[in-house]
Amino acid sequence: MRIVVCVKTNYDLQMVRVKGREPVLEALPYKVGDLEKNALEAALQLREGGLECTIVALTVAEANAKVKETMKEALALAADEAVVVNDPALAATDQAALAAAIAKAIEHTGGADLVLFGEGSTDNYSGLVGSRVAELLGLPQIGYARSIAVADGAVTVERSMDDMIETLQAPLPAAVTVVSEINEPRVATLMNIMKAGKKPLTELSLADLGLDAGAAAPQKAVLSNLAEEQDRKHIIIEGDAATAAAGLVDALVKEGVLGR
Amino acid sequence: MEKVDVIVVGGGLAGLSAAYGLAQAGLEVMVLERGDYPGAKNVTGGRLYTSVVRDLYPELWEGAPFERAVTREAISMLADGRMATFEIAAEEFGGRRPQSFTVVRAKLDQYLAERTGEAGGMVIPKMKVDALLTEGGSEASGAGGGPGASGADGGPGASGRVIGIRAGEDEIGADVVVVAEGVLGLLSSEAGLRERPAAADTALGYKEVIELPASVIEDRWHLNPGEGAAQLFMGSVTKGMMGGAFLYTNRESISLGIVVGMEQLRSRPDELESWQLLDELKTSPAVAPLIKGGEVIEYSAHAVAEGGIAKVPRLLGDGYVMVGDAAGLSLNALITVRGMDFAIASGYHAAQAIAAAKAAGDTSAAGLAGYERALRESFVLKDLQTAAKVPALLENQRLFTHYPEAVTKLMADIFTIGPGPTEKLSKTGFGGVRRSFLNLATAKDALSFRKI
Amino acid sequence: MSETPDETATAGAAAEAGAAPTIGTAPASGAAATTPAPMKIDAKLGLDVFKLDKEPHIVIDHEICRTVCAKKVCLTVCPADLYELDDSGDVIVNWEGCLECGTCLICCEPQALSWKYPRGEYGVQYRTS
Ligand SMILES: Cc1cc2nc3c(=O)[nH]c(=O)nc-3n(C[C@H](O)[C@H](O)[C@H](O)COP(=O)(O)OP(=O)(O)OC[C@H]3O[C@@H](n4cnc5c(N)ncnc54)[C@H](O)[C@@H]3O)c2cc1C
Ligand SMILES: Cc1cc2nc3c(=O)[nH]c(=O)nc-3n(C[C@H](O)[C@H](O)[C@H](O)COP(=O)(O)OP(=O)(O)OC[C@H]3O[C@@H](n4cnc5c(N)ncnc54)[C@H](O)[C@@H]3O)c2cc1C
Ligand code: SF4
Ligand code: SF4
Repeated sequence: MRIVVCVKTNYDLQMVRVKGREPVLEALPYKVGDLEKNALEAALQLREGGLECTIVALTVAEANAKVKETMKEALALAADEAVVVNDPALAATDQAALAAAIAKAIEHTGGADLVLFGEGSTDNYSGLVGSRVAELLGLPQIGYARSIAVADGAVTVERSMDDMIETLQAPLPAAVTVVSEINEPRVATLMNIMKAGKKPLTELSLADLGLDAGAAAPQKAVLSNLAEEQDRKHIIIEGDAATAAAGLVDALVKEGVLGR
Repeated sequence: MEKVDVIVVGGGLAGLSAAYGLAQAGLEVMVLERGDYPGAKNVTGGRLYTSVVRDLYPELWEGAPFERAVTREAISMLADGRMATFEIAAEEFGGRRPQSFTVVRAKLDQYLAERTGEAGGMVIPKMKVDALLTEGGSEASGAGGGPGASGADGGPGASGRVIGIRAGEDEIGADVVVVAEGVLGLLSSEAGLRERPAAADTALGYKEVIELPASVIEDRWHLNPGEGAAQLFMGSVTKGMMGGAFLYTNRESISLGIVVGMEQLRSRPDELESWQLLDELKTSPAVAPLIKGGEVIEYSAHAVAEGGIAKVPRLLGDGYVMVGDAAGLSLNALITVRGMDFAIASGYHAAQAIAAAKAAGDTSAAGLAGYERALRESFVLKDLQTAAKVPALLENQRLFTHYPEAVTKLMADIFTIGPGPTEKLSKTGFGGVRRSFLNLATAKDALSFRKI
Repeated sequence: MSETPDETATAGAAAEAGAAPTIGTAPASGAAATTPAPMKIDAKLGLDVFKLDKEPHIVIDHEICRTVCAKKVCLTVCPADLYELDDSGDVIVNWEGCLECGTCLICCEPQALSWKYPRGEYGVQYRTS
């Protein structure tokens, strides 16, 4: 059985520094997306639970040395092999084009019995890619997975809903998107990192998949994604607790927030 | 046990310089670095003397991510609300081959790691080494084997040959382990390869990185584009304690920080807190204009090895060598610290010696002895030897109180026109000089200065 | 359904209360005419990236602090000002904001500290130092 885990190689968002109102992206480190780590761990646990399977980590990204380095992390964490769809045209793309490339890449590299995604990516978190890929491949899809079991050609998934836990079953092949409660991902051990360097990593261009650069062209453009600018009043109230509390009440009354 | 030729513990400048040379020599080398990337845990003041390391890996320095070539040097003495600054700009500092550059470790260390990877080395970040393994299958324990004078006369004391490392559950073997873990030496002291650092031999260094536009930096320090300044402060900034403050100009930021001896810091009678020294400096009227309009973007701290040659442990033994700060190879030249050039040079020489030892099939202490010989012939141990008297001299309180007071007072006297009649300049000047500089204590200091 | 994938946080303890009872308007940042008041140490630490582990990497043997230690130097030497006394007078350390300099380890003469580097992937991560 073949499990494909779709991994977005993210900027390490915690390392982003904001200068002016723009993030400084220069020299920023990458990492495997958080929920994708959960998806990799879920695949590993299926195998440890006795499921015979090959785990493939798949990413689609612009050409970049850091992407390949980051995929070694996925190899060290769980995967047996990695596939990188690496094409400069992917530097600016959107979820629709990305999903098309992922679907093609899965077909191209031996198909999948189970495709795992994070529910959303660490940076954009649009939560679109999993569903789009499932649609393109004609697979049943189950979202918000908090547990996954595979038996008798079917996958059984507990879904974490706001006010209930739903249990669903789908025949394989299927697509599943996971949430963080599904497991606690392990950190890569030194031995596994050393082994990861020797595991196969296949690089494909869009042309290899029979797609032209136009296929990566976004159908929508992001014009701005800044947080709303707010004017602060810059009122500082100092003093010991009693004085400060009184000062705060006065200020809030004056602002019309309290009393009247 | 899985095994490689060489494991380097710590991806700082010393470790990476060793790994780069080893990879170039065709050895299988693995660097283990606990930070998210090399440089993520590292702090320096900011100036690397390339003059002494340029010939070691000439191809490395051309494209290195240096900040600014230092063409302007200044020393400021602070006392009693006065600041006297001595400044020199010299063409020979800059030109085609500048003698020193300001650097940012997150950039420089990652650059070296990338070059090491290209040369065939494996650099593994986010990986902390938990122990050095010694022969007999046991982890090295702290028992026995204190450091001797630097001499390659045997293995690591009571413990046997260093045979590898443990990280988490995994044990990996190596013919040679390069100990490049930096100043705290946690693993090597645990393994009995050196002593734990003592407060008397260690300083606390901490700094702020303050962002300023390049044009402002160039205007404020009178620099041509791409050129940089180094400014050191001594005197009241450390309140009489051994140490001083530094300011280095980067491309679009400055590094402003303090280095202060730990022994003097911890034995102060008052409640002064270490971090307050920098705030006092920043808000002092003489320094505030230098950083005006700047935005602090990072705050960092690190220990500095200041024991001098007397505290350099045994540099090698069976299956291991010690490089950089881990071996105490750092020099406190009055108020500046030189450690990065020592780290790079020791890494370089370690790589050459290990490659030779591997080729000869002898990685025992005897086989690795070329490392120590090379360090003795290079500036590393020579400069440390020359400076052997410095640590003792630095404990001399007059250096950090009396002289700054005298100099600033003298300068102030010269420029002061008071309400009464002005004294003749020669009288003012000479009176000050005689009072401050010509007495028995200062004469003794002068003698000891000459030995530096 | 709200998932917060990035749960790690930057450190920064609660700010202490000031002394003088004044109500004023803070100057817009950067435009201060006079020398600005020094930045609080917590604010400085807030600029750094800290990846927080679940376990502390510094553990204090309180028995030693209570019985052997005359001068509690940890309270003054730490450049991040992370040591303080708790309500019962015991020394505690806010290890989450640790800069990993080792000063407390070296300066604590009675050796009350068990001090390790945080595991890989954790602790402070400098970007421009
Ligand atoms: C390194 C990198 C840089 C990029 N830079 C830009 C840019 O500058 N401008 C731009 O418009 N677009 C860029 N993209 C491409 C693209 O816009 C985003 O990847 C896409 O928008 C994904 O949407 P999302 O993150 O909201 O995915 P979601 O739908 O929230 O992701 C859900 C899940 O889908 C899977 N997934 C998501 N993305 C990928 C992927 N790339 N490969 C494999 N699996 C994936 C993961 O399992 C993830 O958990 C970049 C992509 C990458 C990888
Ligand atoms: C404030 C300050 C100002 C200074 N100013 C200057 C200056 O202007 N010029 C100058 O030349 N020198 C200066 N120095 C000294 C200089 O920075 C050091 O000498 C130099 O950084 C030493 O390099 P190193 O590679 O030996 O050690 P480090 O740079 O400390 O590298 C050690 C590496 O080992 C890693 N490590 C440690 N333990 C482990 C473990 N168990 N597992 C995995 N990895 C581990 C660390 O993360 C680190 O990356 C200054 C130092 C300070 C603190
Ligand atoms: S200096 Fe050491 S022994 Fe003393 S209070 Fe601090 S931690 Fe405890
Ligand atoms: S290691 Fe440094 S920053 Fe961390 S608690 Fe100790 S003194 Fe403070």
